Amino acid sequence: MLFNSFEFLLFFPVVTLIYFLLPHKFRWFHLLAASCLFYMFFVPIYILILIFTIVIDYIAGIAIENSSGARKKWFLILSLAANIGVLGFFKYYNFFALNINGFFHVTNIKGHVNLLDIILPIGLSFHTFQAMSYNIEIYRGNQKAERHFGIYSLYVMFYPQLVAGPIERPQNMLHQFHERKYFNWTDVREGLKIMLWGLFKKVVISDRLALIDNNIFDKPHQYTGIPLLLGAVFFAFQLYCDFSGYSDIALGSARVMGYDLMLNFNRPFVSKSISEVWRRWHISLSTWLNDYLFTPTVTSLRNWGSGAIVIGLMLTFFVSGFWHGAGWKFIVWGLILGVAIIYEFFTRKWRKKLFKKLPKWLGDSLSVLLTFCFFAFSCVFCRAHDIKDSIYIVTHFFTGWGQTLSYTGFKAMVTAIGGNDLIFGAFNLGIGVLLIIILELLQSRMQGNNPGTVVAGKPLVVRWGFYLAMAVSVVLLGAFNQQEFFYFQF
Amino acid sequence: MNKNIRNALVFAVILVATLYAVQYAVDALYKRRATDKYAKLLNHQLDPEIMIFGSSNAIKHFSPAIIKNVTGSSAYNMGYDGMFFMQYYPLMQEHLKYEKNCKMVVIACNPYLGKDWIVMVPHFFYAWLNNPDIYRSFHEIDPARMFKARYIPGYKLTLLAKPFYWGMVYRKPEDTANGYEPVLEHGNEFNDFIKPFREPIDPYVYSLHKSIVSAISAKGIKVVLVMSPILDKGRELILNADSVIATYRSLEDTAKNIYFLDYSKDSLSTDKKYFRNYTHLNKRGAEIFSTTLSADLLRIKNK
Repeated sequence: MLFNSFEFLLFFPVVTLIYFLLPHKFRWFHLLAASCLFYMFFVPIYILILIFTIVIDYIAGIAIENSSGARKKWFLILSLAANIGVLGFFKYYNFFALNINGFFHVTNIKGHVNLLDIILPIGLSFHTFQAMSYNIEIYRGNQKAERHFGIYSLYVMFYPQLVAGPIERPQNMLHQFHERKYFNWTDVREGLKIMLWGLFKKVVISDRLALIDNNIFDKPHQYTGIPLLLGAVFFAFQLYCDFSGYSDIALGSARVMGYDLMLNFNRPFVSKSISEVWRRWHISLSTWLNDYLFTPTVTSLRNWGSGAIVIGLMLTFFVSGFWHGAGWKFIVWGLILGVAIIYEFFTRKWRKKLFKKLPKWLGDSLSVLLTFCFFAFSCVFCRAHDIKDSIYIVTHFFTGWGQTLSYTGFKAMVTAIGGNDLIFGAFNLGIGVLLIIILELLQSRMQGNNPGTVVAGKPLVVRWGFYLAMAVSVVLLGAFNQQEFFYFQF
Repeated sequence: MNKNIRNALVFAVILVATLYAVQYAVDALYKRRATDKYAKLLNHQLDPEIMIFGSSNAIKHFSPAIIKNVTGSSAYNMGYDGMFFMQYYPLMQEHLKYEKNCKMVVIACNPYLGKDWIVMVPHFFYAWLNNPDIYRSFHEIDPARMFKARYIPGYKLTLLAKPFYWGMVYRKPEDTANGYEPVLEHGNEFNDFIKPFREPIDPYVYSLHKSIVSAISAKGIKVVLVMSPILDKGRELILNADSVIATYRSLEDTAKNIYFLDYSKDSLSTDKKYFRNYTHLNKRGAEIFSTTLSADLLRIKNK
């Protein structure tokens, strides 16, 4: 079930209402059943895969807690292997098979690995990482194993964050399922506001920008220069609004029922460095990678000095890229970001000196601009169909400008990005730019992800007018084509 | 009443009222789209002597200008790509309700007589979902969506095509071809990979045909069912082409003044140069066909 679907509009209030009407002891069951239903709207049979990993992780968690020494380690390895094995099979089998076949072809070795007709179960990457963090935290002694099978299942199946995160930690979530939640108007009100803001970002901004991006990225060779740059910039915003919009709906819907999920995005486009972007973008994944991959790697290689940082960063961003998708373009995307952060690490003193010579406002603005440009550039690898297209796009950013800047060239560009429709192209382009400005203006006045903070303290008419405008915009300007969330593919 | 509940209710009422108001305004603007042929029909502004209904083989094959030249009767082509019978059935009903000049209704027969299809260009019709005939037919095609579009405030606004808002205010150039949109001669779309298949013949869709031809005939208007030329190779792909044609032909016996003209094996059918694909003529073929058809329509008109 998609958050931006009519089904969810019915599902959410019904589930929430029943939740509050039920006695506390039955609520876990109700939420678990609702979460299963939510998941089964996609491909029902795939719920069996989740059940398989849930059973293994639940048993492994208790086994890890009850054992020690090598035995404890083996239980952890077993659980990690089960999770990675399931993810590897469904997400990466065909990728490896294709590459092995490619290798056979290039080296003239006779052999062929059959491809499988499998679809990646939606949200499996998120589910797997959340399940892995549970057993790692038990292994580290930071978390007690959950004895209640239903509550454990709910921890990894909770519908708001089931298919696209945030990738929660057991310390933050498990205890919340045991606590008695009372109906609280403040939570309901604030949760609904956050959901509305998420929906606005998703259907009004992201899906609208997607209408332009799709025309550019689907046929990049038809363009040079400005439209390619425009596509890269718009895609960065599209991706941000898509995923942060999803996260906000997740956070808001959980908040209505009294659950606190972690903030997953914190205005990444005001970052002054790529490393800061990764502290503000998909925070639940970046902290996961930091806690379970980067820090252990650097700690184990601490005798290598700066080399440990380089290896740690490259490994982390390789995994991050590969986690995002089974394709070389995602690996390249991850590695580009890894190299950028290594560059930032080694040049931090030099850059600090340089920027000290500039007025603060100029230094800050330049840092934000350069960071955004680099991030948008890297995102091309994430969105383009393959590395070949990505290279074409990034190598043609600055060609053919003269042509596009002429009246006829500009008109041709707008027509092309409107799917051979000048008016549609101009409309989407105008609305797209306007929406990005609105987004940044609102976010600059917003605390966290709650749009209520923009109009807090204002008269009732202003506050209600603001929410009403946002709700009506969702209906009127939303590109409701049931476009899936971009991050679902991860 | 608890203040929070009262506030929530008041806000919900304001939201629903706003959505209704916006929807009403959008509908009103859309109904005034004078250049859209369906708006013209549903606003009762089209009343030619010969009205042509059908899907792509209507819009691409029947030239109202040629028909007028040969028969001396004004003609209008209401065809639309992919619009199947269950969708233009209520349009025919609506036309019957108001027409005063119509002497002949031409129905372009589609080999597809099935029920499973989609509503084409639904945004052209959302403003008229309160019309019971339109709603009933559209609901039969896409029940869930049409129900929500009619009864849930704001829902149909979410379904509108993306350029919709421009479409409301932007006036397209006046349609000088009376709804006729032939396809160009260059380029073709012959798909060699199509495997032979059987077209469905749904009893319900057939009963709708019977019902509408009877209703038209009852008003003293002649009904001409036309099977356009099909490239011979394309005809071979439709395994039950003869049954489809026999089904249409059987409608002749439904009431008086119903004629079935079968051009599926016309002389054009042997020559690929007149076709865009197996079942659609190009402009050159359409103009030759329209001339032949017009002569037959003149003969029927004079009966």
